[in-house]
Amino acid sequence: MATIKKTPLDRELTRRQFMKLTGKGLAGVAISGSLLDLMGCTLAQAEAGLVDAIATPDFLLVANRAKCTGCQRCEANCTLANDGDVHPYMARIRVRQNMYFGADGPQDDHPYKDGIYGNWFFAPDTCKQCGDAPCMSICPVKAIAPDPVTGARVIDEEKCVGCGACVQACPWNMPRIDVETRKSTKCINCGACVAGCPTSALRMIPWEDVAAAL
Amino acid sequence: MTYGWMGNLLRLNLTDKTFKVEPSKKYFSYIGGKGIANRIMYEEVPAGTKPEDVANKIVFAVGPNTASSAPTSGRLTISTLSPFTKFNAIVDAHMGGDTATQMKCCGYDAVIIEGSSDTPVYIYVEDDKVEFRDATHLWGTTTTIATKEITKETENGTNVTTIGPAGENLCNLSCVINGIAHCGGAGLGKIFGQKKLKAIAFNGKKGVQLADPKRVKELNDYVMKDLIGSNNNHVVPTVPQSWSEYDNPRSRWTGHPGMTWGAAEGGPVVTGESAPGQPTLVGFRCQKAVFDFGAVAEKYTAKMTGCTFCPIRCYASMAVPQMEKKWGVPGRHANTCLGNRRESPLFLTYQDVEEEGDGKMMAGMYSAILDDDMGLWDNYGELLATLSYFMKDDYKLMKQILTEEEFAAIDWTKRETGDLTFLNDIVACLINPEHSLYNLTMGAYYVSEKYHDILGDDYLHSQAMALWGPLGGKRHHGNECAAQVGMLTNILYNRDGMCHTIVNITGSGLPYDIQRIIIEDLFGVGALDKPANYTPINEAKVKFAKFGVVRQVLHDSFTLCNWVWPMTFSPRKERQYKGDLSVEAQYMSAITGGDWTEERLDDAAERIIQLHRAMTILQAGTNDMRNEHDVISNFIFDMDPDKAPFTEGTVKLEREDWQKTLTLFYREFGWDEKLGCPTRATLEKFDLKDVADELEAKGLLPA
Repeated sequence: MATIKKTPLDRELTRRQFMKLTGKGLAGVAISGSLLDLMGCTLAQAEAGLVDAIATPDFLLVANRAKCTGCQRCEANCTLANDGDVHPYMARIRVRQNMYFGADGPQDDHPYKDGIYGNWFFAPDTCKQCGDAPCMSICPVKAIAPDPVTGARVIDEEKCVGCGACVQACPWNMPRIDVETRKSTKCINCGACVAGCPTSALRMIPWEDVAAAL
Repeated sequence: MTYGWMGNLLRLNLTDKTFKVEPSKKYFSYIGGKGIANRIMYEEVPAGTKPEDVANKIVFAVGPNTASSAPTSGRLTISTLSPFTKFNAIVDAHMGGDTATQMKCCGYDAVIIEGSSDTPVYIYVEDDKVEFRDATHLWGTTTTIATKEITKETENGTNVTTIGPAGENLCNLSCVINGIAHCGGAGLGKIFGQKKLKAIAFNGKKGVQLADPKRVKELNDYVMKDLIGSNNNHVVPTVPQSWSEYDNPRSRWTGHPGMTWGAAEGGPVVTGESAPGQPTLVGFRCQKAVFDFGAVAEKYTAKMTGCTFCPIRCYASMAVPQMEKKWGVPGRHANTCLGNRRESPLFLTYQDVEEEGDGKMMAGMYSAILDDDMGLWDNYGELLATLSYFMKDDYKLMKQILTEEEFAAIDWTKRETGDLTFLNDIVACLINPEHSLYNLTMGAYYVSEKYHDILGDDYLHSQAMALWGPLGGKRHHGNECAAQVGMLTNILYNRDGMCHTIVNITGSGLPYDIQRIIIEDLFGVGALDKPANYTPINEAKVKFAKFGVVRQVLHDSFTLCNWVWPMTFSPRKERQYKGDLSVEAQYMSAITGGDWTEERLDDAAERIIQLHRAMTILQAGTNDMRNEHDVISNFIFDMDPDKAPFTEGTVKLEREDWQKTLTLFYREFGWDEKLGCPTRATLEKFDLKDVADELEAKGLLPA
């Protein structure tokens, strides 16, 4: 059977439909069983707000806290694929700072908080590829722009002056200034982290598949 | 640019609170990890030094493969002098968690801790920034509280390796802990405590450079798709799966459809099928909580965790809220294997809370939480064995070593009622230097020395203690694992051997005949006996044993996890279940840019064994290793009195055959066949002339 080639417009329409459906998250949203299967999570996990579903221009990125085991292979695979070294601090996806005591750091009641010194719950921070990306809008030299193919907000190293404004502007401080090149770096949606996650806690779902499941 | 290695070592002096960064290149020929750490100990800690001396050092070391992204590359070796075994010779702790990665990302292949502080300190390392910080406020705290406070004082995500009160109080059986439950044993807690070092914290922000990152990625994919199985590289699942030809209920590939992480956030996560070729499902293969605690543990499994960059998640991470209500401790902890048991078998009964068996599970967790918080080291079950030995026969021995007041102050009936607070009472005494029970944390060799008048030789040689030998190391996959082969992998060390190369094969879950065909192809006919149906020694078995320890030392140096590697077998039927033993060398070439073959890398690992053997001889002051070091426990020959050695149904060995085994083993390593010590020719073959010279000067080379 001949397949109908999907266009970027189709993808964008699905993305907008998904965003309209989910608003600011998956909690309380009626999600089809087939989409839950694609996302690799249960309705309970989605409704509890444990699944971060990020509507990037190219695909739906899913990060499921329940399945993240803190192995940090996502961090290694990120820099291995993009920089040719293993450099967890520079990774564009990061779990270590959440792993021990959760994102908020040690609390007196830590046994009841996130992290391995607590309730075992944690997940990586990932770039959201924001539509109105603060990193992009604040950059004084306009070094951050959407990639024409993937839509990911990418940094033009030629233009970047390493000022760090993007790091400060990002609510999650996801861009990093490389200590050697003095250039900023951020997620480009390459998918290396997803391909190497040994528990499928991370998933990239093409919008075509989301459209079929919606 | 240096690939693989970081090129520097960090020297920390606790006496004057100074540090120095030095090049590490001269140690590259010792690979890394154990090799580098042992060599530094050889060069810098003179033979005859006692573990408690200021001159003793602690060396943390990683290797070119550490944090390379290779599966299971998050391991660290820490070397020092043993406080708990005969001769006080060189010992290594092999620690997982995140310390290895963070230390390497700080820029160091090794960290040497020397001298001694007058007051408690901890050390914070953030790349080039090194700070000696006051730890007076942390002295006396548990490992959890120390970690929490140091994290508050540094940066969220910092890795903290710390001792607890057991180390501070100089218990020989004490450890360091990182990441709540990742333990570095070997009596390290005492050496930290002796130096007034509460903790060392790493916060690494540098990267590891790789000569051929594309090739490293290809190797990662190859291992993940074609070679790796589950914990201990078990390559068949416990129950039939749609893709599997074999299944084995004793396998650690416990994940399967219907098996869950039952206490996962938001509801159970199904482990499901994870057929070979699916790298994004490998982490579901090991549901270790159920393996260790039984089916009752499934619904309390929050998730599986483990070491950095390891896809085999072997740490059963549990959440048992009932524990808080019943016993007053938050029921959250993680561990694996004997770490999930500790001293809990001391109880004669358990108090179930909701269902049959949950009391025993909680007892194991409770004991693990207590030990890890106190930094008390169980030494692969030795502490439990010793306590049990002294409690048997209505506390006969216990009454002899405790004062009447001490004995009366302990409510021993709690053992009979399953009251877990009994562990609080016992552990409080064990780590209290003023209490007689403290003496039982000296390690079996010293317990025997102190109480020989009431113990005789029976204690050290008993099956109840299950030591590999009177030197005091616990048997760790010995004669019960491939007969003489397993036993030989125990005797080289000054503690329990921790060699998993052989047990990973015999425990793989594959039928014996498939194992035998692959192993005989590698080492010769007769290399692998049937389980509990042994035969006399032969050269193939000796070569198999040598392979076991050479690869173990390679992994402890490279570093990789020997609890998973080498990839002797594969889960793939289309490979006839054959693994690939050249992968480590392929990684070494891709990471460092060198031209490494399997043989060359094995030779480099064997060199480390030669050095380790020489260091043991120098410290022992005798080269008669056969009669002074490699002596194995009587129970190994005397068990199953109704059965003869080499008959079906027993794993006992035979004395004359064992002596022949040693002779063949010594020959395989180029050692004097009578004494078991390296010859000058062998040492020089491995470029260890300086070691040979020192042995000769001390009259410790064979004639």
